Amino acid sequence: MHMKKAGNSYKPDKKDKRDKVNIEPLQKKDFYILTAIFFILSFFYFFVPADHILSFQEEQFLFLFSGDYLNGFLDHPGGLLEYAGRFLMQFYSFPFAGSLLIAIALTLPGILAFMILKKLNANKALLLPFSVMPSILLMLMQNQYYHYIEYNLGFICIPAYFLVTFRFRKYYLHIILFPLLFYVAGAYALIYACMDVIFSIAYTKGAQKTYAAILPVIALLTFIVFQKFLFLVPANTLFTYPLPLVHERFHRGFFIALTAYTVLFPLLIGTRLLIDSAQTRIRYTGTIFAGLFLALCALFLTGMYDPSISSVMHIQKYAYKGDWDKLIRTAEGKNSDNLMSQYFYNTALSEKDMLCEKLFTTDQRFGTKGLILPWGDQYLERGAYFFYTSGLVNEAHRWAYEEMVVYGKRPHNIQMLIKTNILDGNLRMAYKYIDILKKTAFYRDEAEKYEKLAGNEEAVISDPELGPIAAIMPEKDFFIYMDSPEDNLPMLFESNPKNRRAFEYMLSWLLLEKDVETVLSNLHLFKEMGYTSIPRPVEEAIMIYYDSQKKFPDMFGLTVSPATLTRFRQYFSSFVQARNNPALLQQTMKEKFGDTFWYYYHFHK
Amino acid sequence: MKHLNYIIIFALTLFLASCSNFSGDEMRSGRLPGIMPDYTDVTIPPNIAPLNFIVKEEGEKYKVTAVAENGGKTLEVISSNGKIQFPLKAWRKLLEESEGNRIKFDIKVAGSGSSVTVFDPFYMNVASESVDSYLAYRLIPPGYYSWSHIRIMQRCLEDFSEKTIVENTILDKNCVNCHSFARNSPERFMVHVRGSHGGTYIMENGKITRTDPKIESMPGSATYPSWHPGGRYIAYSSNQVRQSFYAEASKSIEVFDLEGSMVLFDSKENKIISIPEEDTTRYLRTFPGWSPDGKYLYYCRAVNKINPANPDMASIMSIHHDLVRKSFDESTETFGKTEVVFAASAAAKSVSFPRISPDGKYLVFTLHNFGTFPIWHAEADLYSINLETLEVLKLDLNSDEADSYHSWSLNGKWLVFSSKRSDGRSTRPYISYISSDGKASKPFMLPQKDPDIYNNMIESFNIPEFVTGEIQAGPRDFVEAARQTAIKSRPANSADTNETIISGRANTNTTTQAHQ
Repeated sequence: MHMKKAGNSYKPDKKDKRDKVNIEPLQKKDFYILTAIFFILSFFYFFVPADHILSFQEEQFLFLFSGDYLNGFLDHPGGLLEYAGRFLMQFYSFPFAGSLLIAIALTLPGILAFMILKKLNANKALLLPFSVMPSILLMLMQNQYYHYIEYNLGFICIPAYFLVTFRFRKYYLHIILFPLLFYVAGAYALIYACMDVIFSIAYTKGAQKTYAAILPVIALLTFIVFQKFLFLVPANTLFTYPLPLVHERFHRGFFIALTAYTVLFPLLIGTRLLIDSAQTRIRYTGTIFAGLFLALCALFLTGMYDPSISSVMHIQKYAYKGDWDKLIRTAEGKNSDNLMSQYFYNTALSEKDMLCEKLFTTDQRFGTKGLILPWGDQYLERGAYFFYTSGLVNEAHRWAYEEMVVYGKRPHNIQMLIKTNILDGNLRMAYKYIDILKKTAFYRDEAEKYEKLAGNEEAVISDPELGPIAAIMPEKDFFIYMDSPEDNLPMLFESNPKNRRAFEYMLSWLLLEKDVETVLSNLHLFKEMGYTSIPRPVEEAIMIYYDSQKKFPDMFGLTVSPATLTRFRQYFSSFVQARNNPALLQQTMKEKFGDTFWYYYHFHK
Repeated sequence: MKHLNYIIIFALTLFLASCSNFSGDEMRSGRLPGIMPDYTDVTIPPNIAPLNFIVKEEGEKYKVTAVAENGGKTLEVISSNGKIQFPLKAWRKLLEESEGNRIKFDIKVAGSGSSVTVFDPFYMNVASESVDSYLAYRLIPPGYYSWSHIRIMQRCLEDFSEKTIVENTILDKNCVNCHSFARNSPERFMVHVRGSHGGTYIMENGKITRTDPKIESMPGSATYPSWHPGGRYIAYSSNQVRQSFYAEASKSIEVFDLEGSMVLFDSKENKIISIPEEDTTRYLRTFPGWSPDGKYLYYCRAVNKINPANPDMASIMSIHHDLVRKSFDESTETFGKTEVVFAASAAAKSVSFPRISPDGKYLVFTLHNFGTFPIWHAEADLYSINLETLEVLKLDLNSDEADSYHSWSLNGKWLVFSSKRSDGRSTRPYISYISSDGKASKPFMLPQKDPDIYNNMIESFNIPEFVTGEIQAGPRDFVEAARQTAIKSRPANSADTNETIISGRANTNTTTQAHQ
């Protein structure tokens, strides 16, 4: 052991003092440079390539400035940490501010670790690598989109608490204030307790060593008192809340590594490596190691980065904001192979009244699943949008409400509840949800917008978003089909013949099911519903019929466009040519006709 | 000295600010003030907590003066935001002095200039009869399928203290539902839990026992309960409940039964006694309610026209429950023949929740257009039937929204019920005074310390039940009880089959017993 105890601080022996004089200023400089690099890297990462993480997380919670909202966090240990996290996450509405906050939250643990290591005169060679380690591990964890900032705050609390109580040089403070730490930080206090016990065993002497035995007892007593008397929280929750228990392999690995690092941190302080004696090389060795860790972190992030996740989250954000043009552009640009992207893309097409026309612009590889999401927890936060755009407002309301019950208030579910209540004419509930938005920092404009619409029928009718929905809502009642939502579509346009969106959803469903016969049996409805031309994919279905029957079906006065007739001939001849080479057939046809129903009909499995 | 000056200046400013606003020219509005909740002309018990409210009038300062009309105590509250919260002690004194009399409320609102608007006074009538000191209810978002946080709470009606009886966060998010008290007793009650800790938790003699009052032949779990006044038996309906959702904007949900039968649970012997019908008709039976002497079991009965394979809207809308009753002989545990008390089906209406006043004189029920779940029926209203004359009366406490689940105070002078009148979706408890001739007074919404709470709250107050004292059991007692293995029930008559239980058609042995 190279450190000895003097009071509550650790003073280096003579040899270490020499180290300090010679090396510390240089190491400090290196640390500042490394910290600055890390800060800039993390800021840039979350501001540009990983900005989807911010927008996704911002949508998960609705921070309210109200006593009731705060009370919801006070009734369980760790709630305050969570509250602080939710407070910070509301700023993710602004990518610059959000990235800045994340960068600060990721950098701070490293700075605190450096301060502790410095204070305890840790081995100089390890000072830098050990300092950057918690920040790097957190950065890797933050790359997972369910890793919220409150988890970083938890890992800030631990060294901060250690540092503060250590600074006062009253060791018993660790113990007296432990219940408070447990209340504020929840299970992070238990990680701290483990760390502190190891620290006490390794570095304290005499009577103070007894603290090593006292803290576990205090921690256990606190746990029991909290669980049995103070809070209605199950023991397993108390033990783990609010730790980042995300069900993802890498995240779990990094979390375990960071927890182990934090607990074993005191042992690292005194670690001596073989390089220890080579004083002049210490600075460079430490800096090189720290730099290497940073480079590894960057490498990991690059490897873990998934552009398709980024794409789907951007698409989801546009859907929640009703920015359908941007959504369509993004989806068509990326041609994402994600079910949610496809679903929201189809929703956007419907919102722009071109679902049928542009159905096969993207490859619809998920078939009908990309049109309507099935009922279930997995899709709870997204399923409402199909019902909303197709005019089944009651069902959209139900999905949004169920989401609110299960996952809590979120910006998009509260806005959906406001819109559906306005459309349903239940203004008292609409105002109730508007009041909720008014208690936020960044959704007040939306609240005011909806407040102007509520109860003003003319404003609703002329509103670009609500107006079209109000016009297509069902006018006759029926029980909603929950298990087979597609069965609602004919009911919708039968109960309101103006509901073209439901009609097009039904046709799209049939096309994606390759049910040409039923598509053709509905041709009479085009004229009845005021269509002057047949959407291209339906024309293509007609051509499939024509190809097999050598005659056109009754199109009730409408015709197949010359462009489709020409393209069908081209498709036919390309198919005949390409089939000689089955290996290239699909690829060739996809390149030329990937946006047609014919391609989907022949090649989609 | 310097500090003292500051204090004096501050005190003077406060004093002037509080006085000057109401010293301007008074202008009479000639109308009642808008207040939320509407507590004008309500009748309240002498032991109720302060009826705090919000003055919904434009202004900068609000002054409310409450005066015991018999010339006694005066209570004055000044507010800058219109929220009027009476101090508990002074309020109690005011009620004490006003018992059997009225309290007059004068409201003045000071505007931005020197104008003061004086509104017409309104009154609250203070009855002489107290209300049970506690109210139990379930707090739950009025949702559809999903649930997250469900709590059964007890609220002291004499102040604002509220405690949790049981909540699902420490019961692995199980669904915690129907709670029922034996003669409003805090010492004998039951709670159903569905899920991994499922069962019916019965509190008796200071101990919670986990039971499973279900036998194989019942169509569903034990559902709607009613304690026999003796405390040994609980009548349950056993329902196969389904829900469908409406497409049209004005309606949301229809909850209906595919099957519904009635059984009697003997909590002492843990046995299930079937409750037979005499004819072969396929009935839906639900909502049991005992007469206070325990000699009659009232319930709702409809001819089941629903095809379980295809429960379409038309058949569901054709379900009309009549109010019926059966005599009960406790010594032989047998039931007599079914008597129709109120044939709602004849008027194409449906009866739910028969609840008889403790003196046995009145039965209050919910009447709605069809089906079995009135809380989602805006037309649902409360009616009472005089059990001596069978005269039916629509109570003067109803609204345009659903008015439904109700229960009596032990002295039979107060009725608490659920109403959706405040926002059309969340139920709130309302309390009404029932006079000796069975008439209801204008009800008042359960008072809250912060009257604004109802504006922010999305949860419903579900199944409000009066309780005569504080319930000593808490959530941890339920967690403890959840560790027990649920006591399985057995059929009292081993010959009971699914057919006999569902249809209520008695098997040979039971018929003999019933007709004895």
